[in-house]
Amino acid sequence: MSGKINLLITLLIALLLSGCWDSRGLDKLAFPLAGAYDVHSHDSADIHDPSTKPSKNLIDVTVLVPNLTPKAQTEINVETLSGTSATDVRQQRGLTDADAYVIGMLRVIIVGEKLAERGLNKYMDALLRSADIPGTVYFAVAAGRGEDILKTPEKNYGNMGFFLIGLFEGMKQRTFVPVGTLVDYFNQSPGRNPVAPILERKGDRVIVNGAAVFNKDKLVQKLNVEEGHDLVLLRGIKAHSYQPFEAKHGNMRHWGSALVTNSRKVQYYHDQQGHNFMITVKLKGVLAEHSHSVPITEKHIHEIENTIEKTLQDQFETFIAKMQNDYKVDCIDISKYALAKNRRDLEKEVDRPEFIQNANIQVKVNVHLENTSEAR
Amino acid sequence: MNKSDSVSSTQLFYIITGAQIGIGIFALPRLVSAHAQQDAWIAVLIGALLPLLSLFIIVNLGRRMPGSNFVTMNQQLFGRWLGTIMIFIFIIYIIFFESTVIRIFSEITSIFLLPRTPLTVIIFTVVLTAVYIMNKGAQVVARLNAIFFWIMIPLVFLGLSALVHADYTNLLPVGEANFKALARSALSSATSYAGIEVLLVFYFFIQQKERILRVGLLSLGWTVSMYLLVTITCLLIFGADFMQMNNWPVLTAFKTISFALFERPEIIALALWLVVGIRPIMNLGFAAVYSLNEVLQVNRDKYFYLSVIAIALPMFILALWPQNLLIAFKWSEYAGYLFFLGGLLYPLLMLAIAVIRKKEIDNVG
Repeated sequence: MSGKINLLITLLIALLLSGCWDSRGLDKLAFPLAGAYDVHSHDSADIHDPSTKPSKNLIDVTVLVPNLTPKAQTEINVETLSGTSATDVRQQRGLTDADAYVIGMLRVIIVGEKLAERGLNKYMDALLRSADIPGTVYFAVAAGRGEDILKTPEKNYGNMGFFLIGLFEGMKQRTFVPVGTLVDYFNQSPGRNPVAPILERKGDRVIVNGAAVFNKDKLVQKLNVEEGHDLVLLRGIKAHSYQPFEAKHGNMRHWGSALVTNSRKVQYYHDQQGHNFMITVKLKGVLAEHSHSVPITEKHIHEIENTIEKTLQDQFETFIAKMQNDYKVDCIDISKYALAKNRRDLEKEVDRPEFIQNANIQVKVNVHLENTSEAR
Repeated sequence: MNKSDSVSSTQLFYIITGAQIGIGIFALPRLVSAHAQQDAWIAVLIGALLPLLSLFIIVNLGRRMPGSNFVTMNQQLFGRWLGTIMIFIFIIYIIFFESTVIRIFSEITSIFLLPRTPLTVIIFTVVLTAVYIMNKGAQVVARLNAIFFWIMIPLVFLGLSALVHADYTNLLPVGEANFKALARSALSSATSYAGIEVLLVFYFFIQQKERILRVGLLSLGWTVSMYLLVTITCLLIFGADFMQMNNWPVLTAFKTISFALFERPEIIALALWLVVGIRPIMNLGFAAVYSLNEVLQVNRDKYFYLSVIAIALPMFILALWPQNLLIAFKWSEYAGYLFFLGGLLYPLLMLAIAVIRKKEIDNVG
């Protein structure tokens, strides 16, 4: 082929791959940062929005979109629309919004607790199917409505979306609260049940107020912060935070906290008595705070370690009893160790409530404090 | 042999790995874990036996007929007319196989990168690029394979960073899959090694023929390593059950990671993989073009481009044929089964005839 034809082909390829059909002006795009799914509420959708056919199965989808248009009156746009499904709402958004949504920038998904109790898979399928949405989107449950979370005014971070992103990113480094992503949620293989943090609006603030336990896609239990703490340690979700302790020596009450990272080891065996699990929770860290400013001796460190071990042991045993008797779902992700021994036979069994109810679960805590930080 | 067709043994390594590792690697973990579950990686190893056998057969065949190219080899073994028919069947096999590769390549591009661009345009662009490359000769094809190979390396490291989500229990228990499940998964895995038959054509272009077997083994080893790596990585991250819900679990694995500067590494991985994914199309496409050109004895310098168009046009048309992705997957499955014929039975038949005919000649002598 002559040089001219070669050049023509090269230019044609470059032209076709330059995205003629897919290119869109940046000023005509909107980049939602956060979204929320809730059961339908008559008060939520804007009265000027397209009316929705009445249906039992309506959901409300709220999106938070930073307003990039120069000289816009508001910096942030939070809009709720109702529809029979997520894609139905997306379609309706085309009737109300001038900008095309680029959902690839989505970072947070919140689901209202009532919707979560119904089961989420049928509502969130569009998120799984969409190639645009990253798997690293944070997933949380709202105490009440997710819409209320997104509509809470945020003074310090620009908008609630940025606040939530920062909150989730920092949680693992500062708290024992489960942080999950969409991929973690969607992986509902045998033996696996997702957990998520619970967000709650309190006045003009949004706080993390516990953890949500799912049985596959249905919310079955809301845990408070302390129970969420136990959940994280028992489930082995890697985190880094403070573990408080309190002890009494004679008339003296000592208290303080250790800054620790956690890990977990689970041993499983099956015998005539059934399925047996031995969970060892390990905490490793430093003494961060102590009520008495005296030089800490080695003996004292060991006492603090033992105190923490004993406290956590009791807490964990209470949690496990609740899990087996009340929640009846494996929320601490131990079934996989049984499957690791005998997947073929147990695959259909592990998701039954009887499996976790009848399992013999022992727990041991091991705390190691390496130093007393800068002070003695 | 045309000067532009000379290929070194090192380049052969890149050509064979390029012919085998393409866009199919994205779906491989799902396909092999469908039956073997957590033992999918064992199926990947078992599946490698087929291309290994094919390699030995082709090298043995080439050694018996060192002066012959693919076309003259067929004509000497099967006779002029039957040999020509066999060559045309081989060409048709390549056209069908590569049309499925082009289609799935284009579908992935459409879903992840260019959702609004018509599929026809994407397929046309892929075919046009392949036409441009194939027209330049074996040396250019070989050199491009060498360059594209090294683009794969950073992608491997990028993919490995997803192992922060790894859960070793997903690989256990080892050896639970029964023979039937392993066999079915090994079958899926074996079809992923299609591309080794490119050696039937490229054998003739290699200068240092004594190194072909060693290079073939190295390239096969590399392919097996890559397949093993992606399968084990996806199993560790997702487990066999969750992978069945994803068309391309390798791409989903890229979606689980995010960095400060690269929030969407799957887009970068896919954009780079477009370059890597075109290799099977240009390698096997060139093999078909060269064979057609030789069998029709077309003037290489003046009219080679006509042979290129004669191969590329049916590839383009066939790539457009499946009505949706599910049918394209079905076609890809059939193309994989055809690999048993084109990649194993066909060279075996040629070798058997070569052995028989040599005995006949020896007996006559």
